[in-house]
Amino acid sequence: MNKDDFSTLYRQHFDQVYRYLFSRLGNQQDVEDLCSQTFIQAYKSFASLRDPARFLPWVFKISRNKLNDFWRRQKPIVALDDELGSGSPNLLHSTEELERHERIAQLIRNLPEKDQELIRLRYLGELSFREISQVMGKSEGATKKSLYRLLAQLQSRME
Amino acid sequence: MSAQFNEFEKEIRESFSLPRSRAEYKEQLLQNLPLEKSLRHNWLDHLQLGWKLSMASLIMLAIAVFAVGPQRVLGQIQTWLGYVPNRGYVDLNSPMRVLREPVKSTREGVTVEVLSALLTGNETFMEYSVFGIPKEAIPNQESMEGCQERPFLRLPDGQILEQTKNGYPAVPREMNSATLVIPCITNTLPGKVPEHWELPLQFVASDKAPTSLPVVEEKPLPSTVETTSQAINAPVERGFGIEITRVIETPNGYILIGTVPTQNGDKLYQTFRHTPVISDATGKVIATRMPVDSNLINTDVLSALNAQGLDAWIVEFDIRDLSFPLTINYSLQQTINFDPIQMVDLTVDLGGTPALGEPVTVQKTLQIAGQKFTLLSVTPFADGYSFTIQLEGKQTSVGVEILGVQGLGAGGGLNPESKVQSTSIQYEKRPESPLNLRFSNLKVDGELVTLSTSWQPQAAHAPLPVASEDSKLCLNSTPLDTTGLERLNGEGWLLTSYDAQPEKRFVILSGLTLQDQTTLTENGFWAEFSPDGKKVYYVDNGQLAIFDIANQTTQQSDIFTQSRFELSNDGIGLAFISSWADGSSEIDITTLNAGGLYVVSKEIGAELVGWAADGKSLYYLVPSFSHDLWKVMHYDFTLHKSTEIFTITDATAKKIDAHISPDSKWIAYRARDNSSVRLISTDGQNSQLLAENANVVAIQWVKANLIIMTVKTSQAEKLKPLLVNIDDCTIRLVPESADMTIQDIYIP
Repeated sequence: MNKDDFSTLYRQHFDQVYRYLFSRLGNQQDVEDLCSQTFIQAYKSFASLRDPARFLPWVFKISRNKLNDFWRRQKPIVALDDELGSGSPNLLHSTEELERHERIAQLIRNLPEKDQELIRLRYLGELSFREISQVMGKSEGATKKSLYRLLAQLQSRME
Repeated sequence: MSAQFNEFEKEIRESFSLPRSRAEYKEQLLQNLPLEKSLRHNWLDHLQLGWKLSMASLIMLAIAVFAVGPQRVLGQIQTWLGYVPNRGYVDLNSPMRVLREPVKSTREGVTVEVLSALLTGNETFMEYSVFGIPKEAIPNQESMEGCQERPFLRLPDGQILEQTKNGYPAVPREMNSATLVIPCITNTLPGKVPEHWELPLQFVASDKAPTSLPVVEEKPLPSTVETTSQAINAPVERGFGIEITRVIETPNGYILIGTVPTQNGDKLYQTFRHTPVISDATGKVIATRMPVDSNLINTDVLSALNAQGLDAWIVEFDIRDLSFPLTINYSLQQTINFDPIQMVDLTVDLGGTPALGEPVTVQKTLQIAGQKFTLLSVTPFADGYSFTIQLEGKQTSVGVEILGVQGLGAGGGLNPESKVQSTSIQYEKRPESPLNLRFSNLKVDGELVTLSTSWQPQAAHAPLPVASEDSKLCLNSTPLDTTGLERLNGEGWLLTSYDAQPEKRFVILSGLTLQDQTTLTENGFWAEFSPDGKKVYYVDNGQLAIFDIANQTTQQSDIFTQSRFELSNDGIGLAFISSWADGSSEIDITTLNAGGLYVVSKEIGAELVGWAADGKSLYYLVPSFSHDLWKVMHYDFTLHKSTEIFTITDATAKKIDAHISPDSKWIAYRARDNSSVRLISTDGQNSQLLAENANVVAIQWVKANLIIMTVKTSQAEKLKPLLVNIDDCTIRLVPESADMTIQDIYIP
């Protein structure tokens, strides 16, 4: 695989990695820093990746390692207005919708970390069950089962 | 893929309220990715013959490094390489040329302007901006692909120079013109904006060309290694020491580039800092930073060294107030994976029918290869078990399995503070107690190695720049000595926000020394005082709220905003940014006495700056499509009309944080290096540095001559807000505590 292959995969999957990192870090500056580190590492090691179909779980593994390094190195910092400017809906969305989203967000925050991670990988990273199982080191069946159980749990609490 | 999600799954996704990535960042990162050996061949295939020849010498250098070592090869580099900040290495054998004058073209509301160019013997750098791209021209779904055709230069003889990593190949010396051809604006949808742009450019040799910085050979110096188990205060063998390979002299100091090893024989090491710690001859640790353009500096030779089990590092520092020689330390952590054959078994009986989710205490200490750890408890859940293990000392993980049963998957992690590892394993069917457990694959942190070397420049540094008389430079990269600084006190109010949990942000009103605290909201942000200091305006759960300090009453407005707002000095006009679900936003104004909603700008990425002192007009910024340039706009609230005043060309592309001074004389903003703060007069005529490489992450005006600059300190990246008088550079300390940020200060 060559540079063009990498560029194609990068363009296909960049936003998935970005969204995942944003959900973990919460501010653009750190997200861009870690996104850069992730893709630089991926670029450096790209020759070792034989199957382009494994690119996404592979690059997610890199980004999770970079996150671990990041947390080890420093405490997250929230500067003035760092979290602002997001595309959060306001005028467009009704108060009911916002409240419902906030309720879902609250339920997700109360889940164990591994369940939150599953949700982030599935809905922000948009990974398939097979890809999630590769990232998390679980079987595809167990991944599917865990997620469906989680969804049922969340939905029942929303009713 | 989102189309496959059901409605509830879509709601889950939306509940994260994540912003989209910046298209220009995404594109820029791709362009800036380092050229690695494994990909170099393919990359070269795309280059023109002339460029291949000029690059051949660089590649020969990389090959030579393998053969004879970096120092001797780098000795040759200085004879013909210079360094231009933000541009990269330049060939000094060829005179530099620049653009004769900026060239601009406007079609259907879209403007493309070539602002500058730098032609060196080995590369052509081009700076151009694009303004006026409408929202509908930008892809808003991942399935939509924007234009990816790259711009190119067409020379008078018809030769085409394709875009490279940093610019374009060199324009031959005898040619002083070229045409910049832009087939389409990068990342715009086809047919939505004009395509096929051609901008004729003229080049001239000029004394306006930037000065290149000298690139200096560094002779190898003895390196020492100190480990946690033993100290070896003798020079170490080449291959396991810290080395400095290249030095660039900057106007204020130096950039050092070097290597550290990542392995020594069969031992593997991790770096947990990416830059060295440097102390001067007095033992004082000096402030260092990564150069803004480190991606341009740390290329060619050093990227080749990476393949040899070495890690490259790069660091920049100023030399004001430091004494040579410097001691350079770099720490590495060895990671040891204990022999996986060594294991220990344990049978655990959880009783008859253990309750799901209830931990069963085990408290059994086990041992592998002399390393002790304790199984604290086992918690059953519907289809598996969770094991809680207390690790000791430098242990980082241990594997656990139930013998005879194949797990479907496992997850967990280590709390680095308590050293408690939690591992959950799922099964097709949860195995019955008693459980035959096996522990194996113990991992331990090995020795901590600190590599050291000493360095001083071979020749005296050029004289440092002298500040002009009207300079407003109040902070620089030297860590601020806060002893003796006055603390903020007396009459006034302080507004702070405090992050109690990741998703909770308290907004707190207090006296200037944090006394008499009142919590205004548990889910708010962006708070500011009314000009008379009698009220607080803040965002509470996405809605603007007004708190009357004297009456201690709160009034909710009907204004929804998730972002920054600005109140006019007369307390009537309120400008705010409305963000929409499709990622677009607009700047709106309403009046607090008569209501109404006036749309100021719908331009993508527009940012508020603030109101003019008389409250009759508003300043805001519109970014170029690549976010590296900002047009300063003036909105007349009487005529309801915007006019462009000037363009800021040296601001950060990350978070500009621009604010107008209360007397509307200056606009303060974060500079391109993400660390400095600049002031520019509101007519664009005067520009000054207020803080230079001072790690400023946020700014906020308090009075016409008082500004808060929040700096990131070297101590665990802690934030320190400073109240700076820009007339005399006196600094007062603002109260600080962990996770707290200053939102506004009112001083009567």
